[in-house]
Amino acid sequence: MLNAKGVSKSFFGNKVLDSVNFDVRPGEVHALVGENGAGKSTLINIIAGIHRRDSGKIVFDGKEVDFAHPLQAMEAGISVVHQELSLVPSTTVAENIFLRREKRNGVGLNDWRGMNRAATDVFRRISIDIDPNALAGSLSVGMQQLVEVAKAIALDAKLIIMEEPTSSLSEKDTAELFKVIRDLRQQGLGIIFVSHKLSELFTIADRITVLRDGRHIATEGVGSLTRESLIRMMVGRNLGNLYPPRAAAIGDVVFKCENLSCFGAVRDVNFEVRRREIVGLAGLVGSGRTEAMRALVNADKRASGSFWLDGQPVRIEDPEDALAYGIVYLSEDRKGSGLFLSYSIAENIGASTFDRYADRFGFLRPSALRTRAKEFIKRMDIRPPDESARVINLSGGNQQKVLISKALDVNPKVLIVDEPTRGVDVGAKALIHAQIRDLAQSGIGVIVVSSEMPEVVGLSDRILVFRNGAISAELDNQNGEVTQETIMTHAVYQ
Amino acid sequence: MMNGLFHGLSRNVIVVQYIGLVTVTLATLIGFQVTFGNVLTGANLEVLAMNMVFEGIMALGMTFVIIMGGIDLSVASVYAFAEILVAKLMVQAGFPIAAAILITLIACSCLGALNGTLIVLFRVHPLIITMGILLTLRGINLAITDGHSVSGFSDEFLFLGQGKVFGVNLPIIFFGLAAAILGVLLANHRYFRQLYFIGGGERAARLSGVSVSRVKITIYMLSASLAGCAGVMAAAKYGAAHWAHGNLAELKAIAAVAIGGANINGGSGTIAGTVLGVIFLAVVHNAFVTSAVNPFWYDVVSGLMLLVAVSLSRFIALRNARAMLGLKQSKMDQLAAIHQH
Repeated sequence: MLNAKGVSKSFFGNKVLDSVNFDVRPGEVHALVGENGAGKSTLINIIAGIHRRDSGKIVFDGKEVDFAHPLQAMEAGISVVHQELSLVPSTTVAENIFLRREKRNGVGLNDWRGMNRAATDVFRRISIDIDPNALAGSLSVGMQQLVEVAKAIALDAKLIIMEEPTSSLSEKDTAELFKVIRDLRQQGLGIIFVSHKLSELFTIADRITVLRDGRHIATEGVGSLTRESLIRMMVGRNLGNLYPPRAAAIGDVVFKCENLSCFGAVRDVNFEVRRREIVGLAGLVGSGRTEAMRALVNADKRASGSFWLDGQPVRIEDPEDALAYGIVYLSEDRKGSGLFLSYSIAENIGASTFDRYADRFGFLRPSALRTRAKEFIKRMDIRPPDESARVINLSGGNQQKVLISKALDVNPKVLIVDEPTRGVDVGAKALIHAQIRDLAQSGIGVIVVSSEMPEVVGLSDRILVFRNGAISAELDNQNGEVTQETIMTHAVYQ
Repeated sequence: MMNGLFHGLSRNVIVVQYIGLVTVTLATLIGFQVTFGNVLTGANLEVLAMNMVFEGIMALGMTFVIIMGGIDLSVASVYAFAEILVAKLMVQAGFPIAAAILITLIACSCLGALNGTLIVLFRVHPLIITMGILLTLRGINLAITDGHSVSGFSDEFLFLGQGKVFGVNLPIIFFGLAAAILGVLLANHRYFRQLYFIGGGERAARLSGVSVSRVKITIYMLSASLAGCAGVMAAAKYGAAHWAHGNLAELKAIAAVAIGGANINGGSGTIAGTVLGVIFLAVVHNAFVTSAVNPFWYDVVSGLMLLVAVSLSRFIALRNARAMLGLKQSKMDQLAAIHQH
């Protein structure tokens, strides 16, 4: 139904797509993979009419097309479910679905009842149960994602492009989304599925196309591919073992948390972290793992909780206190609350430690900051290796490395990282995992919160599973034998 | 089940806020009536209503602008400009009333178009653009009148500001009608519903096919036109046009919208909320002024009113958030209790 041949595109003389071929058949899920910067987004944006191609040919539904505007692509039957959700929280679900195509009553005003009915029809078509009259903001992220899909279907889309649709979904919501995707495939729609999560591709995709550095590397049926061969094609080299080896000798307890509660989110959480140990926090989204860490540093006001650092009781009234003790929390929202995007790498790394780079009159010594930043750039392999580069221009993986550097500059005793590799490609992922292990090895106690179960299993020495705001299981993973199934049985009520 | 729960609650947040606003307004009214006994008189109620009505009309337009994530500071000088222009057209150029008003309103909507076009073209924050227009236009108002007021209107024109229909002042009727019509349109018309999408996420709105630039320009035109209507009626009410009229009206209009529960960053707000905000400001203001001895406290009262009102809505929002958490907590406790065994 879609056939793109020899599509090329340059930005500012930079060739980002070099005669790429790509096609989608009706009733197929075609996955598009590649590292960040491989050209996936550009290709998708061209198909959806957001960018225009420089050369090449795209045939959709038997006609050659060259969309100048996303609206034209939509009218032709191509819809995109973008990575960032675009629903407006204060409007209803039905209104979001029918934006720009509202049903009207006799006097030209919106026919809310008609729109609700039509929305219900769409939901029935993909067998999901959402109240069309609910405010979009009251839905969970997973439900909002399904509403986005419903929006595409209501447009009578024949081809739906999904950009990282599962990046902020829990396992349960992901399963729900996959059910819907399979339904759509059955109905003969074509689906382009972009994801960094390789395990998903093998569950949902029929064919996989790999892009690297703007070039088409391969298109193959999912049956003839393995995880390893796919990664090799994506990064152009063997990555070796995906996860770093575990700790040789775990030390004594560095941090202890007792009776941590947060009203409406966390119930009586107790745990310890040892030196040289990585503790993984697993659980469904909303199970309280992120909430517990936020309550720990009192970013969200907690109801109770006592903490010991190196055996001494400590009082943590706000994240600043935690920082002073060497307890660093790296938020899952690295762009919103972790990094200063329009500042340089050096300024970001020194953001929590500015005092150290000032002379005794309080004036900043830029050279000291630059020297320190250079050390981190080398240690963390940040690219571009230029301490004055603005963080906004860095890839997600490199931004994460800057964020970790910023935390390290505090000389932490305990490092809490929330979703360390969300939206990061496989190459950078492995590097970040290795860095986290190195940090633990240097004597820090590390807590990793992640919604990706393979990451929790691959990285952690010990796993705490959260359910309903409390820890439901503590699993020893020293020899890496905990399975995802074991975690799941503790993550949900049986 | 979960969805239904939060769905109901998040709508209630808005309703509770309105109820809170109404309660405080009524309490103030009654409290001052009991203490001073001169608030709930026909004459005072008229003063009370007329005191804020022009800012109220501007606040209606401001609601639209704020919902789409913008702000319009220029309304105050557009208002004064409308006064002066309509006055000059009638008194100095001899235009008939209808023609003078029509030309004035067209001129005002052109000023709004200028606001919108500059904002869309330069992609500069509307605060800066509309402040530029506010200051420039205020200077023009001063220059073209040499600082004097323009007066000498016909009785027919004065009726627009001072006349009554069924015992209600014309500007108040205008405010009521405009609020009702604009309220229905904002709540139910597809064109105005787009504002929520622009304010909620401009990029997403654009990708969904909303012509953001066009909508923005027309909404700034609407805001300026409403300010123009207010200005025309104000000239009639005061019997004179003066460049300094409406000073700081833009801030009062914004305050009314904010008190009415709209998010100043865009994406939410209603006309009903704004109307409640206008009434609240009018009542509190009047209550203080009728009881206070020294009229120089006027501005202090205005400023404090805004702070009190905003803390109030913040307090209500916090209490609602807490109630929401309480529901979650009890759900969690229930679940845990069920699976204890």
